[in-house]
Amino acid sequence: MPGVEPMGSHAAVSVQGLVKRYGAMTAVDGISFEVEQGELFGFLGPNGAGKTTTVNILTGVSLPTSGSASIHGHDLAKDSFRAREMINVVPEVSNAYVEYTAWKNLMFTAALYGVPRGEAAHRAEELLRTFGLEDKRNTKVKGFSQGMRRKLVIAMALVNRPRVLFMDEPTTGLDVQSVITIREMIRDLHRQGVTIFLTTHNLAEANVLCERVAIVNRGKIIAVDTPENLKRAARRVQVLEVAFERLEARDEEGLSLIPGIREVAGKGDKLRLVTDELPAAISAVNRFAEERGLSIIHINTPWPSLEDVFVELTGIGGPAKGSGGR
Amino acid sequence: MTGGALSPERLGKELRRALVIAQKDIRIYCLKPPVLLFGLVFPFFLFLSFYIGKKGPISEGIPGLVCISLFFASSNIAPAGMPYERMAKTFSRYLTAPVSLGWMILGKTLAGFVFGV
Repeated sequence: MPGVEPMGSHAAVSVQGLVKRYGAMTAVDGISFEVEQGELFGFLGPNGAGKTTTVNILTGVSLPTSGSASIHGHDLAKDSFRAREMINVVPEVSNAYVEYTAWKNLMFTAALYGVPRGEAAHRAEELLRTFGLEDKRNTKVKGFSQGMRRKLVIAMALVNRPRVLFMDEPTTGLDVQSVITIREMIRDLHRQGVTIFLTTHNLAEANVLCERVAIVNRGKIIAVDTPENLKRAARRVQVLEVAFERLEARDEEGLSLIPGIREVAGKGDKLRLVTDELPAAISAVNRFAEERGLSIIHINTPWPSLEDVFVELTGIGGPAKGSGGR
Repeated sequence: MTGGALSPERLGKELRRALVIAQKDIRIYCLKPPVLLFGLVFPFFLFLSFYIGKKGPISEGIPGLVCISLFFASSNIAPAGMPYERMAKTFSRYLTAPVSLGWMILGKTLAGFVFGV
């Protein structure tokens, strides 16, 4: 059972110089980082950045070409069995057994992780209650909604009381109510001291949930810090958000010609101007509005979002659009 | 991937988990259409095609039918279950669980064996 051994001062997840090659292609290129015990850690990156490969190594699915990765001091190349006893995984796809009831899914997962039957039954009852699935206890999963399946899969991942929980896009494809519920569940688990390794494309989610995030691109880690520190460091990306009462296409084109404005992009009913010199840009936009008889109904200088940071660091093209989680 | 030394404690855990997988496979996959089709329907028609036209009591052919049905049914649980699990994405559960690949396959083979017996 996980938790029987003393964990000592080991980090929950430790990765040192990890490399994974597939033939000539290097998927993970010498990354190193640590996740502290009880930390809620976000692992972000565009598609093909090496996130899944890294997580596959951390969950014992594949072996690294070189370097090392360990869970609570148990090396995944040398002792993956012990390491895997301490983790559980919430995959992107809700992969409960549809032929089984919620109860049987929980009991099967508990047995697969070696939880004694009595303890497993107690834990399963507790999880069904926590996740509001008590009345679905004896219902086959094939009749569950997406949200219910997601909750069950998270409950299944908690049945062995993992020391480290890997979550891959936990709220993808869910309605707003389920997203809120699951985010609150993640916060609860974090409060209970579970180390959570969250892989996500949802930057707003990483921003509101994670204590630290690692941004990975082309197999390398390009930043590891708290979301706020990353945003502070990216303050050089200066953004001016402006909305006019009425704006024509030629006005928008005119804005992009103002010296010092690097980029103009639509963001809902507003325009998002990226500049190197914010005060000068504000004056220039005011002058521009006066000259063309336009009235400004909204002007704001928002703090860069995690999405802005992500776009800047990864160099993925295109303007950052509507990031809700500043 | 063996994932470390095989101590007696570890051996016990692996064996118990293989049995858990076998039990689950028997419950879920023995009534799946491919298993029923290749294990029961196919042998029955095979039996009929060979038996019709032959002289002698039908009771002589029954043991052969039972044997061939059991053979096909039990040997179909793992081959039917594995692709099904990969399709349903449940196979990844084994890869991250504390059970080695060899023991997981043993569990799946056991399911067919027990079903056959």
